[in-house]
Amino acid sequence: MAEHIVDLAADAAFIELTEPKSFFYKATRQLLGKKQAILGFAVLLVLVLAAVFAEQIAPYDPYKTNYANVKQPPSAAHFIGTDELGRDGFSRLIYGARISLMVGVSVSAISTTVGVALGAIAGYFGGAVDMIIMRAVDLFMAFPFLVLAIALVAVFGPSLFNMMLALILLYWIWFARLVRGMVLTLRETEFVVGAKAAGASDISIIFRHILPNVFPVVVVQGSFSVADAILIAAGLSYLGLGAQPPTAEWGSMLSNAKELMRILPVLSIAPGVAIMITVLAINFIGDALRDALDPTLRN
Amino acid sequence: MKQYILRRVILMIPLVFGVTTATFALIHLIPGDPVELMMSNARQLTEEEIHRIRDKLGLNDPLPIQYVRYVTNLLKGDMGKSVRSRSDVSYEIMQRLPDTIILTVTSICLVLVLALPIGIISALKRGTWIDTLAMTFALFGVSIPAFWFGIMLMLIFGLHLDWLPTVGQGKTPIEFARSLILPSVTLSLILLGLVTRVARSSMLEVLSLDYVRTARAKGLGARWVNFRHALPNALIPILTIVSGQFASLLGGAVLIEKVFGWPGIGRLAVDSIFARDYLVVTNTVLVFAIMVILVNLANDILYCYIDPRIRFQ
Amino acid sequence: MKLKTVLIYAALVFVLSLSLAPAAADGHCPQEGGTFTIGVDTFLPMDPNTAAHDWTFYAITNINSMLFRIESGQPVGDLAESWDISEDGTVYTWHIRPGMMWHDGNEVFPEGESREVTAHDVVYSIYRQYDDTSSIMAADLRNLFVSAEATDDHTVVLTLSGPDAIMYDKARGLTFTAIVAKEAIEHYGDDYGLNPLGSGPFEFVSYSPDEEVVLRANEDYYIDPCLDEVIFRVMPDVPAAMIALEAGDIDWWGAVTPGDDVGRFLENEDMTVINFGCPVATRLYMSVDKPPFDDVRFRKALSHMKDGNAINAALRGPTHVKGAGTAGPGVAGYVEGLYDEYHAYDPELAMSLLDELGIVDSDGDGWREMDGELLEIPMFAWNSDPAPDYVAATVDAGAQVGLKIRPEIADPGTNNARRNDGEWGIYLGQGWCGEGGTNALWGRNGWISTLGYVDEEIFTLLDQSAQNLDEASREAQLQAATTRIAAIYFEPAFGFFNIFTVKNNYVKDFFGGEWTLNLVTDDHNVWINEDER
Repeated sequence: MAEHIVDLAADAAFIELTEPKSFFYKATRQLLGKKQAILGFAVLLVLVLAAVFAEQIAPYDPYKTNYANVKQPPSAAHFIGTDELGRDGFSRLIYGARISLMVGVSVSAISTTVGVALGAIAGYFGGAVDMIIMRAVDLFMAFPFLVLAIALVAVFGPSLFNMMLALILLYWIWFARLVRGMVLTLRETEFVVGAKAAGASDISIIFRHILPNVFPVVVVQGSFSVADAILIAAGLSYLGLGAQPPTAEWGSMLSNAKELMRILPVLSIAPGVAIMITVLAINFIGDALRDALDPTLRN
Repeated sequence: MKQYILRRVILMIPLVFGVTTATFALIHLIPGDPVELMMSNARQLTEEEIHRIRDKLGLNDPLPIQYVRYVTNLLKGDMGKSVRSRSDVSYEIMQRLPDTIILTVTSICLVLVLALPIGIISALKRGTWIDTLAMTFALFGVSIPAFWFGIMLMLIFGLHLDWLPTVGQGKTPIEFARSLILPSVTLSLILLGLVTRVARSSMLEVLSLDYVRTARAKGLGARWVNFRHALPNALIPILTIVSGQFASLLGGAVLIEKVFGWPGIGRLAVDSIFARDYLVVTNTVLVFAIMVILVNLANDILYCYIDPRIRFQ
Repeated sequence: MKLKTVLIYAALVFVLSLSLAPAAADGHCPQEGGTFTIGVDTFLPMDPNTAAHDWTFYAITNINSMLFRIESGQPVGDLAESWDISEDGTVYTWHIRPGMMWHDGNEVFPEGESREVTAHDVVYSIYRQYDDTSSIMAADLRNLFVSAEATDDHTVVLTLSGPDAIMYDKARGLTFTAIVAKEAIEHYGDDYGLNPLGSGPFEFVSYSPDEEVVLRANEDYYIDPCLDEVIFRVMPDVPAAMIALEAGDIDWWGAVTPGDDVGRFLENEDMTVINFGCPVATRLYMSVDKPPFDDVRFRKALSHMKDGNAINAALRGPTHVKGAGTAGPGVAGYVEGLYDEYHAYDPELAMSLLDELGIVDSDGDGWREMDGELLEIPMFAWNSDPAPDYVAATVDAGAQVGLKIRPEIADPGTNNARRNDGEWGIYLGQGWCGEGGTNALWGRNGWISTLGYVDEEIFTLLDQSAQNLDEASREAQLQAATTRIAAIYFEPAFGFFNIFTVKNNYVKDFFGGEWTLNLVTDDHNVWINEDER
C-alpha cells in the first residue's frame, strides 16, 4: 500500500525547475491530448455525478427492506439482484460511490494539506521540527501501513469516521517526507539563495518559490493517494473496521455478500468491479498527470 | 564492511526502542480500564476486586515503571496473557508467525517469477502491443482490491471449478501446498503491478546506458547483450524495491489471511480486535514492525555487498 | 487385509450390529478406528470454570467425566453410575463408578501411574467452581448450594437448601461441573485450560488456538471408544465451513448452521440435519428505567413498527419459528400466541402510540422529536452474521415510522460493558434456550437486570418454579412468568430460530450434542463408516 508514494519520493530529488505558468499551460494541453486521461476523467465524472445525485439516480432507497423480495437474481427491476433483506443491490452500489469518493478525497485532501505544510516547514527551517517529523517518519515507516491503520482503528473504535481519522494520521507523514525532501533540494537552488540574499522573507520564499515547485509532484501523489485510500478503506470496511452496517459501502457490501456467494455471486462481483473502475479511473488520471507534470518522466 | 553493518545494527536500536514505546503507548491509549476490558465478559466486579486485579497486574504503578517492566518482560519473551485464549501472547504469535512468513515469502517468489519477465519483455518490446498489454496488466494490478481478487479466485477456482480449497490450511504437505495457492496468488497481486512497472523502467534505463549501446555497436547479438549486460544491472533496483515493499506485503497479508482463513498473525490481530484482546493486537503490531526492521536491515546489508559505494556515505 | 475381506467383514458386522442395536456399546464397534472431525466456529481453553461456551464444552465433556450426561433431555449416568434424591429434593447422593482412571502418559500422571477417580475428586471439582465466584456455575445452583461431601471413596452427598428443578437442564445446574484432577489443576495453574486432563473417553493430545484441538481414544475407559481420534477444527468463516462439510473435510458442523444452508442440507441425502429442539429467541432489550423506554407505549411502538416475523423468516430461512416470549415451542414455559398478541406488524399503531407520547415530527424533517430535540436512539449490536441484518431491518423499520435509530456496532465485550452500565438505548439480543435460560435472563440478578428489568412478581414466579419439582404447577408458574414478562416489558421480538447442526451420514450412532457431547456412553459409541465416506 501507499506504494506510489514510496516509489516517487526518490524522484523528488530530480525535479527540474520550470516557470509555473507556461508549465501548467503545457501540462494541461498534454493532459487533454491523452486518451487515457480523458477516459479516466469521463469515468470519474460519471462516478461523481452518481455520488452527488444518488437520490435521483438510484431506482430504490438503498436502506429500504422488502421481505417479499429477498435474494433475487439480477433482473430488469434489480440490475444486480437483491440481498438477504430485499434491498436493491444496484441502489446500494450507487450510494456506495458516495462513501468511497468521500473517503478517498477527504483523506487525501486533508493529509496532503497537513503533510505539505509540515514537510515544507521541516525542510525549510530544519532544526527541532525537522528532527521530530523525521523521527516520526522513521517510526511510522517501520510498521506496515495497513497493520498500523488497523491498530489505530482498534484504539479509536471501529467506525467510518475513525477509519478516516486513522488514514489521515498515517498519510500526512508520507507527504511530509516527500515535500521535505524536495524542499531540502530547492532550498539550495540559485533562485532561492538569490531571493534570500535580496532580502525576501521566508514566508514569501516558501509561497513564491518553493510551493509552486512542489505543487506538481504533490498533485500527482495526491491523486494516487485518493485511489490508494479508496482501496484501503474498502479493505478495512471489509474487515468490519470501517463503515458499519447498514451503511451502503462497497467494502462492507463485499463482506455481507460473502454469505450469499454461492447463490448470488453477482453481489460479490459488483462492488469489487465498482472499486476497481473507480481506482482505475483515478490511476489513469494520476498516470497522465505524472506524465504531464513530472518532468523527469517526460521524453 | 563490518563497520558498516555494525553501524546499521546500532542505528536500529533507537528505532526498536521507538517501536516498543509506540506499542506501549498504543496499549495505554486504548480507552477503558484494562481490567474491565478483560473481565467484561464475566459478571460485574466490585471496586475492591478491580483494585486487587490491578495490583496483581501492576497497573497501579506509575507509567515509567510499567514501561520498564514492559520492556524487560519483552526481552524475556513475555508479552503477557491473551484474554481470549488465556495462553501466552508470545506463544500465540509464535504459533502463527511461520504461516505468515510462508505466505509472504511464497508471494514474493510469485511476484518475481511473474513480474520480472513481463516487465523485461515489455521493456524490450517497448511501444509494441505487448508493451501496452503488459502495462495495462500492471495498471490493473495496482487498481484491483486484492481481497476482492481473492474472493473472485475463491469463486472461480474453489466454488465453480472446485480445483482448490477455498479457505483454511491443509494438514498434509500436498494439502498445505494446495491451500497456499489462492492466498499467495492473491497477496502477490499487491506488488505485481508495481514490480512489473519498476522492472520495465529499470530495464529501459539500463538499455539506454552507454556500455549496453557500445556492446550493441560492437555487433554483439541483441539477445546476448540483453541477458549478459543489461539484465543483471536492471535487477538491482528491482530487488531493492521488492524488499523495500516487504512492509506493504505484510500489511496486505492481514486482509488476505482474513479472507482465506489463513492462520497467520494478521488474522490473529484482526480477530483479537473484536475479542478486545488488546495485548495480542499490540504485540502483533510490534512483531510486524520488528519483521520490517529486520528485513530492512538485511536489505541494507545485502545492498552494501552489491554496491560497495553505499558504505562510504 | 484385502479390501474385499474388509468389506465382507464390515457388512457382516454391520448386519450383526443392526440386529443387536444398540449393542455397539459393549466394545463391539462395527468399524474401529478413524478420525471424527468436528467443525466449530470458535474455541476457548478447556477449563470448565471459564469456558462458558458450547463448542468448548463438547471437548471438555469428552476429556472429562461428568457426574451425569444429558441425552434427549434426560440425565444418564456417567461418572455417577446412579444417584438417589431425598424426598424433599435437597439431598443428592451420587454413587461413583469404580475403576475410572485419570488419563495417564502426561506430565501429571506418567504412563501407568494414574490413579482412580474418587468421590474426593468430585467434591474438589464442585468446590473449585463454587469458590471461584466468577466461574460459570449456574446462579440458581449457587444460590441453593449448601455443601458437597465425600462420605466414602465412591459416594458424594450434595446438600441444597431447597429442591432444584433445573438441576438437569442443559447448560444449567450441574451440567457445568466437569470432574477435574487436583494434581492437574495445581500442576498447570492458569494454563490448565490449555492442558486439560480428565477421565473421559478421549484424552487430550494438542491444542493450537484458532486452529484445532486433537483428542485420542482413552484405551483405559470403561467402554472402548470406536473412534481413534476426535479433532475439533476451528473454522471462523462459516460459509467456507459449509463447503468443507459438504466436501467431507469435516464430518459434523458442531456450531449453529445458518438457515440457508439448513435448507440445502435437508435436500442432501448424504447429510443429516439435527435439530437441538430448543428454539432461541432474537429480540431487542432496552434500558427500561429511562425515558422514553420507561413508558410501555414506547416499547409497544418499537415492537409494532417492525415486521419481526417477516424479518426473522427472511434471515433465518428454514430455521425460523414464529413466536415470542422467553421460551420457544417445545420448551417449558412456552405460551402460544404471544407474538400475535404483542408483536404483530402494525406501523399505524406504532405511529399513533408515538404521537400519543408526544414524540412527533414538528419540524417536518421526517424524523420525530422528543421534548423539541431529535430523538436518536442508539442500537447496540455486534458485527457478525446475522446481527448486522437485524440492525439494518430495525433501522429501516424505524425510518418508516419516523424514528431515527443509530446503529452502534461493537464487539460483544463492549456491548456487555454497556449493558452492565445500563447505557441508554436498545440492545439486540439472542436469548438462551431452555427454562434455565429464562432464569438467567429474567431472574434475580439476571443477565438484563442492569437495564432495569426488575419486577418482584417475576422474580418470585421464577424462584418458585426453579424449586418446584411438580411438573404441572411448575409449567403454570413458568407460563405465568412468561406472560407477565411479555405484558409488562413488551420487549420487541423477532421470533425464534431452531438450532440445527449437520453431519455427514457416514458418521454412525451419533445423535448430536446437547451441551454434553456424548460420543461414547452406555447407549452410543460413535463410529465412522469409512466405506461410505
